[in-house]
Amino acid sequence: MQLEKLKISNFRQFEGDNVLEFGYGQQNVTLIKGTNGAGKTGIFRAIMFALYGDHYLEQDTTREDIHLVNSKLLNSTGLPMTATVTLYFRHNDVSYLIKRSLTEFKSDNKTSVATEGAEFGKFLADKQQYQKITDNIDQVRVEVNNILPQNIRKFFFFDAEKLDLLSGLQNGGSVAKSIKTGVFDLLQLSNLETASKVFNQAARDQSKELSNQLGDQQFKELEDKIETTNNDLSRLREEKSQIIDEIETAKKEEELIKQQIAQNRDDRAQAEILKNKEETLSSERYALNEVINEAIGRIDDTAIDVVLGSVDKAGIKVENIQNQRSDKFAKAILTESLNNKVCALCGNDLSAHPENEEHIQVLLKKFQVSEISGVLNIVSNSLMSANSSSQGIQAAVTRNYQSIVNHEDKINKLEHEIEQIGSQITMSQNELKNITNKEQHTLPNVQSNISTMTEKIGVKKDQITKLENKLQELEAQQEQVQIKDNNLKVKRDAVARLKRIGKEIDQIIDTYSTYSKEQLEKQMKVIFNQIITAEDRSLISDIKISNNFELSVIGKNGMSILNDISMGQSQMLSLAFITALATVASKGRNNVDFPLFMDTPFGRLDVENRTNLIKNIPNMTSQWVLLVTDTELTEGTELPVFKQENRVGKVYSLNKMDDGTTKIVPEEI
Amino acid sequence: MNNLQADIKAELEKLPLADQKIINELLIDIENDDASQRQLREIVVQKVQQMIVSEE
Repeated sequence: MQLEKLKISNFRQFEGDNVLEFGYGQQNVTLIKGTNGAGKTGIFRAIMFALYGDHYLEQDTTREDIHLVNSKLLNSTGLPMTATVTLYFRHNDVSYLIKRSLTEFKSDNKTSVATEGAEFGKFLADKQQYQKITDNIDQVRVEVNNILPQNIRKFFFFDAEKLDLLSGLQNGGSVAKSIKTGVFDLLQLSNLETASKVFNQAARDQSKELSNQLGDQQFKELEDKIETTNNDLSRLREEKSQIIDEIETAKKEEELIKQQIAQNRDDRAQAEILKNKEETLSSERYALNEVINEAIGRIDDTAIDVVLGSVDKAGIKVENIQNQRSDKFAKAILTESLNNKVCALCGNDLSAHPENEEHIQVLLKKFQVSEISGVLNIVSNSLMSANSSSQGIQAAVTRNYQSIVNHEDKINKLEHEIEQIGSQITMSQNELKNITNKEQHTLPNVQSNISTMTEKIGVKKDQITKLENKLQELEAQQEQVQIKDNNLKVKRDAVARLKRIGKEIDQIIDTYSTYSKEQLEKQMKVIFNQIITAEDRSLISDIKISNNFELSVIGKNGMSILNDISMGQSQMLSLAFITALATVASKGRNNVDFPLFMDTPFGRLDVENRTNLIKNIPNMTSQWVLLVTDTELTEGTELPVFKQENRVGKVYSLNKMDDGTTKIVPEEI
Repeated sequence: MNNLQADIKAELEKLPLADQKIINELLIDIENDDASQRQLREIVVQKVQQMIVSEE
């Protein structure tokens, strides 16, 4: 359905004739601007009146005060006045016209409706020729319902500020009903569901009646058995459905834990490295402690170094005395040198150097062994030994010191690394422990539960199949019971036929209900992610719709946050739902085949949400009609985005001339 | 009628003609919303019985 043109005459504050056209195709956005009281809701009201003959909108609180004919004319002329609204639209490549009029008159200060009329028609191929289809109000309703059923209009024509589609969000109660009603209404499964109830209940009623009328014991027994089997089947199906929901919940949990494990893999790997580093750090600290203890143990040994300075001086003194003494060389060395004519110490040829030979002969002559030589030797040896011991202690102390420095370096390095790794880990220790616990305990438990429940489902399925076979058998037996009375025979056949039709309808509902639920969930996620803010995207990780059409909004922590979302988020969720629903209904098409008509669309939304909607909604719907106030369409924020996106086809301003007169004026974006 | 409705309608069209007729008539009655569930049951029972008699 594509809106083409709206003609309004003397309707509400629109005195005289006013026309507005709607953008379509690549310029499918229509902006209708107006201050409060200028008549934005009057446009909304005109469309609802044209399509469905509505005198009131859902948001009206004081119904008695709403009159559709221009009150200024009605008051000034004192004559009956007629308001007319004509809506031109296209649907499935055919152009249609729907025209409604309403005549009101005023008497004793009370306004009453005199007459009401409606006309529905279409334009033939060249669009020049108009063909009236009907001017019967009831028939017009049927025609419009075939195009856009009345019970689903709220999904496409709504006051965004009062968008209460998911009104149960805050208390959780009626959300499932809203979602299910939405899906079933839009796909007209609601009527099919009612039809199923009618056939199945009629079959049961007829069967009981037949049993009573027949008075046949065998038939009655079979009837009782059929009823019991049917009850057992309902119970089993309900149990099976519950288990399926439990499995779905468990699978969600499993998926979530796996996601959390995957998302935090880096953190956990870092935490593992951190753990190893901390263990190494602990070892290093222990080793450092050991070295320090060892070093403390050496303090006594190093006391010798305190006196080592004076020992060194004593050593030099002893050496000097020894050097000055004549018994510095052994007597045998002197004798050997003279005998061989070669110095035994330096190899000097004494024959060639008689002065040297002479010196050796003097030394030998003066040579005498002193008693002090032995003492000097002992002192010298002791000093050498003490010096050697001191060098050992110094080396050990140096080693200790070096070891302490090395351990301290390692410790400093490890502490720095630990700090760096720690800053890279975004999760707290508790969260990490929690994830590890989930991986090691919760996940296997959940998987085990899924496995157990899947087995249970198998058992239930078998039981259901057996009961279905039994039921079929019983019904066949019942059909074999000899009935002589022809009327009762017809009744029995009717029961069988009613049951069969009921089953046929149930099968269609089942198929499309499951299909729609899956598609709706998928689409809703895609759309919601496109229109929400980056911040919300980081808060909301998933949207789920269960088999029972229960909606869950999952936060990043894996918990449901449906009851905690803001009014703005709720509005975005509702919009995502509406658009997804329409996308599912238009299966296979790129955009939704219905216009999205929103009154006060941005009131509750922040700038990012508004921008996202302006960028995305034109691609999701065939038309987007916006009734906006001046605060919703500012030069600084919304208008530049509209201009940049270049999707606006028509712009109108509602100019309020006085209390009873508003003119619709076309404008440029 | 949206695409998915068209699919559902196509599913209904796969049913036996007599069943289709009675289902579609019931759907119109439901849409018009001017009969109670009890009245709707009576209507379908009557129609099914007439159908069986005429088939015989």
